[in-house]
Amino acid sequence: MRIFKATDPEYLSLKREDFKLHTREEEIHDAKFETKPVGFFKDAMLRFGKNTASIIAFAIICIIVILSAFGPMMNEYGYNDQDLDRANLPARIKGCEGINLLNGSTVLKNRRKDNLDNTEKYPEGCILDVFNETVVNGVEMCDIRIDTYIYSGYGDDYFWFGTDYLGRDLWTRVWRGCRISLIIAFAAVLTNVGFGVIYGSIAGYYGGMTDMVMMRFAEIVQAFPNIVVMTLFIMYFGNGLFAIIMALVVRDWVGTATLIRAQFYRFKDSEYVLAARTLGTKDAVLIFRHILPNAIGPIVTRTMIAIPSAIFAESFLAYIGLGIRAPEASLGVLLSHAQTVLLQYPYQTVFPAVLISVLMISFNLFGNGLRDAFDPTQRGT
Amino acid sequence: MARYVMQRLLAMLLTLFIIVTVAFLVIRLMPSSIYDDPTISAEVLDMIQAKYHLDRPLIEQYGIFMKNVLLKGDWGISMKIQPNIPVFQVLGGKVPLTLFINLVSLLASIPIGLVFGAFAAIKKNTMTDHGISLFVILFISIPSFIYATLLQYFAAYKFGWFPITYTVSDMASVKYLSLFLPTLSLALDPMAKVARYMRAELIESLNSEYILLARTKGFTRSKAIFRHAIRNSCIPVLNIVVPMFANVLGGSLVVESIFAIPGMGSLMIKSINANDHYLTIAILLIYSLVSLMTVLVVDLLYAVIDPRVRMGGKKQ
Amino acid sequence: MSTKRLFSLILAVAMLAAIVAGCTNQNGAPISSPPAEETAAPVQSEQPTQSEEPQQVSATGKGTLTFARTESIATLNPHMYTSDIESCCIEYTGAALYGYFYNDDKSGVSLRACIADGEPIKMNDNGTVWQIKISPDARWANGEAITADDFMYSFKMLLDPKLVNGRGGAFAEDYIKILNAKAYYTQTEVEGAVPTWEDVGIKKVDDMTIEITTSIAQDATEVMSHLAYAWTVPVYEEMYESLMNSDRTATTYGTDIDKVVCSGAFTYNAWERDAEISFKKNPEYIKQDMIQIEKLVMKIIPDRGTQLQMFEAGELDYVELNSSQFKDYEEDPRVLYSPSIYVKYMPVNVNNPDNPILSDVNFRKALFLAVDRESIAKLLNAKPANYLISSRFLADVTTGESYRNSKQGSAIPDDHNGYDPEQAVALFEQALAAAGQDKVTITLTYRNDDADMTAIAETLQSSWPAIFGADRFELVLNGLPTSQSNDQIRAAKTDPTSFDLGFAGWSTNELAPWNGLKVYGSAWANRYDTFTSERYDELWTLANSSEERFDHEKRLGYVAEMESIWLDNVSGIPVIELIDKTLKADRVQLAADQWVNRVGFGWIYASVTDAE
Repeated sequence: MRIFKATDPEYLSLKREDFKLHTREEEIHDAKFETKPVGFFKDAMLRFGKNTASIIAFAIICIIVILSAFGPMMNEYGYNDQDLDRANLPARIKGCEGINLLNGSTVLKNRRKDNLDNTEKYPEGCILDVFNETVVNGVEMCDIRIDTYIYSGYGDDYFWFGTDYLGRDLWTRVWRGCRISLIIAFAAVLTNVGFGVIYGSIAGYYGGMTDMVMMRFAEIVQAFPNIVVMTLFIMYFGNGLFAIIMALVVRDWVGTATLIRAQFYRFKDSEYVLAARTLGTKDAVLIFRHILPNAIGPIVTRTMIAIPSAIFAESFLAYIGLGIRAPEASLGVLLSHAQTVLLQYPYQTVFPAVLISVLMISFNLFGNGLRDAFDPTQRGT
Repeated sequence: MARYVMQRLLAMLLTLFIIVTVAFLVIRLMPSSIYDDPTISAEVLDMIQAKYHLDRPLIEQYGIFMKNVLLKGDWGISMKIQPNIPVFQVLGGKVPLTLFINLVSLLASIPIGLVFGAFAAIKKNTMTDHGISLFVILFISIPSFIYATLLQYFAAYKFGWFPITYTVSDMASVKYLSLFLPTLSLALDPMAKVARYMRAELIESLNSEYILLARTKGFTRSKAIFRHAIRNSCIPVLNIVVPMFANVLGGSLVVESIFAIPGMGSLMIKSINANDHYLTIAILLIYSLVSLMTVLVVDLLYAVIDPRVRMGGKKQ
Repeated sequence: MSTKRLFSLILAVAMLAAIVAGCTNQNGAPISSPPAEETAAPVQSEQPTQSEEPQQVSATGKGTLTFARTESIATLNPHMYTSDIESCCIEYTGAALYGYFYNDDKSGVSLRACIADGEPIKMNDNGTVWQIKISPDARWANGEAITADDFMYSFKMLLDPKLVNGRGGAFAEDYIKILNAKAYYTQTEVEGAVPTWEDVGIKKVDDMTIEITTSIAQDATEVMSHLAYAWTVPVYEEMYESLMNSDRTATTYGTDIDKVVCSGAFTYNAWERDAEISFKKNPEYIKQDMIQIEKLVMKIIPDRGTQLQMFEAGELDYVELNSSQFKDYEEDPRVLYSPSIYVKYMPVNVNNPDNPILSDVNFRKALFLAVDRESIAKLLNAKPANYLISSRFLADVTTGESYRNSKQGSAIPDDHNGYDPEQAVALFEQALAAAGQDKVTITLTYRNDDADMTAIAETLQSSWPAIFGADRFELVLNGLPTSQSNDQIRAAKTDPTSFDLGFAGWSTNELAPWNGLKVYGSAWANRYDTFTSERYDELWTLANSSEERFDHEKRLGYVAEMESIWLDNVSGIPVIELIDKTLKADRVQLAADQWVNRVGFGWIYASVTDAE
């Protein structure tokens, strides 16, 4: 064997025939793969399938989504069908006569005892129980449990979740509200992740002055308190669906951008990126093909975790009076009204509160499962 | 490092300046009058507007405002919420309570969260672990206003263990007792988050080579856990703990309103709604400062924890 | 003016004088009335103490009365305050020259001297110069005597053109027009020169007497009403001056309880902003023998549900019930009823270029006729209102006659409370045809933190299209937090497109409807209405500053005409008048068995037996 220098005249005159393969006759000792290769997503799905809690959560989310789509059609009442005579009826479901929360009965407090026989006020058969008898200022008083449906003259109706302050069916409104909440949450999160990913990629990849300027801008946006930004935004643009979605995005994309930027800082100096760059790969390809896929786990996780936060943020907006425009209702709007009558009509709080909690738990569990699946090193966090 | 920190601090000043400017313009452009008292006539209204220079062009108002800030350090007075009181004095009356409930809840929740998280990790896949994980997911998922309402209804109203709302009293014990439920409501979420993160980090540490090495060298399991694993797991947990401090002034609005605590949460909303401009700007400034500081600390911590990360490094 | 009417006026004044002198001749003040017949006579049955001999009053008082309010206090400076709760605190702790008190049998209100010594004395025939004597017993809470100098300083500061106190304008001109006061306050020229303080019609005569000169003829009631406003409560010169800034444009007087000196029934005890303010009985108060309790504690609890929980837990002595809370107490004998001062109405923006059909009176009338007030009232336990002046307004303070019961006030037809869907549709079609439109869409801006308004708004959103046809009419709801909603409606002055329909309600002078109607006139700064009428403004001037106003019947006639101009042109659509419900704990004994204008239930005169 000889070593040539590039300047050697002999090196320049070498011909193809002068070369020969070194190991042609020798066998290759590596064993062949017997199994099929598993792709990234398939691998992730396999891992996800082993996580029972996440599967259940996913199933619950599916059920809630289906009910949000079809629930309002499951009875004859429209979401804005008002009837002031049947306002504030509690939940009544066939077959649940024994359960106080679901049999259409309520407790009326502080009733005059001498009034109980008045069938004009209390139609026959509506008083189920009399208890807690007291004397207030010389008047005999008591609490009574009544069948509210007979009491209001709607003895044949069944409102599964009861009715609200205008006699609208809460079952219909809760599911329709859930639909609105989900639409707001999904739209807001997708927009914020999309924008945040692009922004964070550029800042993280180019670094230096670009990063400095972009991140200062992001900082300025983030430094405004969320509540202030959302309030001002809605005051400017009104409380339509689009304005509320945008109000949730206007600041939240910064979190995604920061996360993605950190990923870029972690990977952009690694050897494989250096190698790709040496080969002349373009910036856009480097960003989206080489570095960004590393962040797919955190992105998916963040998306899933962000959905419950968006639902929460929306209900918070409703809480401070900036909820979606009536007669449309979201879970937040229903809850914020129900909370003011918690002592009088607890069922109005119970159903949306349970639903929003179940929804948030499911999304969190589902998000956990996905994260574990996409990024096994992060398992359990 | 020092140079980087200086750079960041200078950038922060610039950022704050921009924030104040943007805030001033945005807030002053709101379509509403600053004074809406129904009993005063149009002429008086004009006079009051003139007194506060509200009749001048916006740029001139901004000039007057900035001049006062830069030359006299005068951020203006509150006009509606607490008339004639300097804005930072108004904030001074509100910040302590909010800071108190937030800090106490945060400082209490971190060690408790760490202990539960560590416990769950050590007893991985037992009933203890599952129990803790269940509570973790519950507390993370359920909105704070739901359990704050429940706590108030049951612990305070039904059973009478605590006052229903924040109670003013000469006796410190009564006052702090009335702050227990709100603090608890605020503590559950960070506690669950810390526990969840700690569990994950510790499990990872427990499976690492250095623990194996420690065990082969003859350390008992508990010694290996306490001497090595927990110490190493605590550092990454800082990553999620520090950002929590960004919320110490703003995270408690709903809980404050449920328990009628006169803190910062309601002040911000009220100030915006009442068009108390200078107060709103001061509030924004304070929040921004806290938020920017937190971002800086997180960035620095990142560099400290993982020396491979070169903050501010250029594309090579 | 006929002699007969003149005679009746003199009689009225004489009767007023008689009240001040201590006689009693009242009956029929509006008593609390429950909304439904099955809850008959709840108030009368539960007052065991009011027939007892008045208790011996100790200088420090006995017992604590604890109650809650939803709003926060911004300032305690009587010259600057804006909200109802602030006026409440100032009335507790400050004594004006005159005030509203129970009449002698506690059946109604009477306007009488507080720290003044008797009625104002008329110094000239045409009634433009009045002298007011200050009682020698008037004391600040620190024991010093209140003198004419204190009032001179207070009034000077109230009108100070550099301080521009928000209440200065109302002091210069309201019930009475003080000579040159407005020109001094606003620094405008009168006959070629800007008046100085010396030119203003307020003078000190001697240490215990001040003299007020007005620009028009006044009567004693007007002078007394004017000097009973909470902003005429004296401020303490030494402290006011020491808290003044260097260029004398602002003072921090009243920004804390140690920065104010009290003169009224109570003194400030402790204050934690937005949480609790407490008051102690003031033994130096001129009428301290009327006050039984030792301490008042006012808690700031923004949530009504929380307030009710606190009442049930015994932490509050009384609590106001909203319409949904009332459900649990509708038969409870502890509930007290009182008329609300508000008529909730929907101002219509008649100038909106985006929705020109709103300027058509037929269209507005159609909306008016399409409101089913009875159903809404039933839903909210309120009273349907197709009128503007609520039943709390009095036509005559001396007799206690409600304006709505007076001859002029009861002239408004009440057939179905103005609900006539058929005629509404006819007018609606007419208006649409005139405008050449097929369909109308209007937006209703309302306060969504008010459950009652939200309910009304949502009811109308479904009932109006049902009446006019869903393909012809659409109501869009724009619910916003209170201040933003109000801002948007008031912005119509500068931006005529800011709203179509809004929600409003005014709390104004309930004892003088002719004065109170100013809030609907075109000169009112923060009006919600956009409709203007020269005749209306002219009538208001007639009813408040012309000679004719001394004829009581004629004045009520002006009031009725103003109301009907407002209603005929549908400047706004009245919906309901609320009925306030208050739940009172048994340990509190009220001083009177009925609600009275201005004094209300007289909580500060109550006694508490079961004190902690």
